[in-house]
Amino acid sequence: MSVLKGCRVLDLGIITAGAATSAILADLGAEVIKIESPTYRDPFRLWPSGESKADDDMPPLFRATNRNKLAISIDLKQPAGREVMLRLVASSDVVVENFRRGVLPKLGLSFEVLRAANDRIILASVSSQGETGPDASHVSYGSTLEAVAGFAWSTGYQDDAPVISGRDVNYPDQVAAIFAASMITTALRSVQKGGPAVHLDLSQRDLTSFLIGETFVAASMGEKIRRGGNAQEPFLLQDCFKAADGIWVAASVRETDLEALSTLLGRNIQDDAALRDALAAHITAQESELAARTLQQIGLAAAPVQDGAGILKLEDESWSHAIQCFDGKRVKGFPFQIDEQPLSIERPAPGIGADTATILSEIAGYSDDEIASLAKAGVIELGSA
Amino acid sequence: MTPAYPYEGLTVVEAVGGPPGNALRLAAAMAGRIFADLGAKVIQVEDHAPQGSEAKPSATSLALQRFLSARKSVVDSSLDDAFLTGVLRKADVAIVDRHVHGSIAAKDLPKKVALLSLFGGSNAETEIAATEFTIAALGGFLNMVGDAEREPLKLVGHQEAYALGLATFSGLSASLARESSSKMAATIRASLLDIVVWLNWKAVPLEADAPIPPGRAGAAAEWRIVRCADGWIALVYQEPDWPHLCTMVRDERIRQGKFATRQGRLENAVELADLIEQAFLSRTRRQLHEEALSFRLPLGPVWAPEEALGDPHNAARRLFEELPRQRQSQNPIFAPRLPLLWNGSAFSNTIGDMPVATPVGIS
Repeated sequence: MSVLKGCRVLDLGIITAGAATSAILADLGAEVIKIESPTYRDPFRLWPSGESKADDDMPPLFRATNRNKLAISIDLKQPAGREVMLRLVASSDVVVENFRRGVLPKLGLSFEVLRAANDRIILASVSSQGETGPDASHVSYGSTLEAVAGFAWSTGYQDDAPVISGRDVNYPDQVAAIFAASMITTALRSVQKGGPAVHLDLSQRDLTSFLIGETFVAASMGEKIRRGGNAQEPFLLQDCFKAADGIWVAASVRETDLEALSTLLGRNIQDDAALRDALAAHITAQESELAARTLQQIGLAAAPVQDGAGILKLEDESWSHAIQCFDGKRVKGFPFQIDEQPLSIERPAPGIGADTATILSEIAGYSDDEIASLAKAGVIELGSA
Repeated sequence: MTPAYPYEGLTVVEAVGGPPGNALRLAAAMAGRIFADLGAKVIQVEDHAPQGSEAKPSATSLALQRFLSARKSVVDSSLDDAFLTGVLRKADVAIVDRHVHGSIAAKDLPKKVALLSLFGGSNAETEIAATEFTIAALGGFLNMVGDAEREPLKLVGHQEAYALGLATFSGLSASLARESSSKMAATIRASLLDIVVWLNWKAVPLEADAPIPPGRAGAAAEWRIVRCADGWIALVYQEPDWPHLCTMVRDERIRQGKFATRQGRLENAVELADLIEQAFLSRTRRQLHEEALSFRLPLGPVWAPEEALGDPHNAARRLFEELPRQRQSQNPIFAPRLPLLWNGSAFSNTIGDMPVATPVGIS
């Protein structure tokens, strides 16, 4: 049995941070219901082309972060749609949202309203900059937050401009999902033990600063914070060097590696500059795999820098659960695994409103006639299962 | 009585070996710190036996220690002696590496165990030298950041280890969430390479016939940093933002046909960024931030950590708190609190050894 079996999550999450948070809960066994609207889709359904696709041709990014979920389509802007939502809230444990700040209250679905419908509900607001503060309503993406959080300042080549992780990594969005899922499970424990409803204010900007916490400690100790490229304590040298096949090799050299390295390279390494020159010469003269392997053999940490194809070649041998295959296609996997109650993927990403009728009937208690009437009025959308 | 702190009464033991700065030690310390912030009693068992250099700890390592050890009990003990066994017997949760896991009898381990490793898969039990940096190489993370023509670049600090720490805490908190499962045994496996691949999932071709996603584009990247009058600003935007960005730039050259479509902008990315940078060089970060706000553009001024410490938004959210002063410390030392407000309250990391909830203002 999965650890969150019996837990129901209403997922208003979109794109990465919100949708991936709920995906982790689904992988842990929660019943996750993705809520979209006849007039508003998760933008990931349209990426990257901007065009809506058929259910059997979903964009990979949407498919990857929404597998394991059910789907319902409700127009929350209509009073009757809001009523449907509140009926679902009454029999759910968690609501996840990452709308722009103010959108949920404007829909008449503030935390106070949700709590009135269910005094044990957990509302996880996974926002860019939090519920409060002067920048709370600012529009931002993950890399915007790297800039304002102090993170980009310290990332970059030595004596050069700051650098962001960029559109293809968008780092804060990824870590936010793991952290948010963990705070939701923490709140579930609290409610389970008799605690009240919980509103979790989860700011990606706060998290991004938290993940460089030691930088702020050092800055307040009077240390000048500079960009140092790939250098890092306690390593004498840490950097990438291009091998003969054009592939970069990453290496971290500890003081304790020096003797064996001197022997391997046949050089007496006197100082940092000599170490850099010797290591660069060794790697430049060989293919990347061989260069890394010879360094590994003396116990020095070294590895070729992989691209997407290289990552896949290491599956099963060096990683096992981060990416999963479902229905013959790759999807996002799990950040961890539990031996006794394994995380698993049981269903593909749903089409729009694929489960609307079933959910309204079985969870919210609507009759077939009421469902037909709501659909006719455009309050709900009945997708094809 | 409703517990104010979700993990009050829970005892968590961190016992991970390796030299200071080791990735798994940092990951365990991050997971333990979150437990401590949320009310658990956290015992960080460390072997302080000399390991190589005897030099005085650097400011960087002291800063790491202050940040990650806040509100924990740190105990010096060998990781294979009777003391550790005794501590683990009384614990509810253990965060360990494979060496500790292998040296402690199963009956002496608590029901909830997080087992950390550098590699997953068949190499999880293999002794292979690796660091956060070389794991970032294998997981393709390094391939994504920096300039295409220069060496791959790491992100600041210890992102790989900290992300593993978040995953470790996430697995443990899930296993403790429900009454039905909180009493069951759970072994959470979290590997550094798995978490890096998980974070970097967009670098992997998801369709069988899809091309390999491109790596770092540097100056030609769609999102990048550009200079302005007093520093830098992150140029971040999506398709619907383009008309507003054109208005904000105030240079008619941006309306040339070659920039009119996303494809055109990607093909001429370096020229476009240069044009925008020229326009921004006469404006400060604050000015650009205000303008971006008025146009609802997601541009981000690059604040130095010293500036972020005094930033009005962070001040309003009381993100930074003073750590308890040590006798030799003359100046206040600040660290970010746990990035969570729970019904409007923060879990403070600053007040003594006992958890105290600090309410923060809600407008």
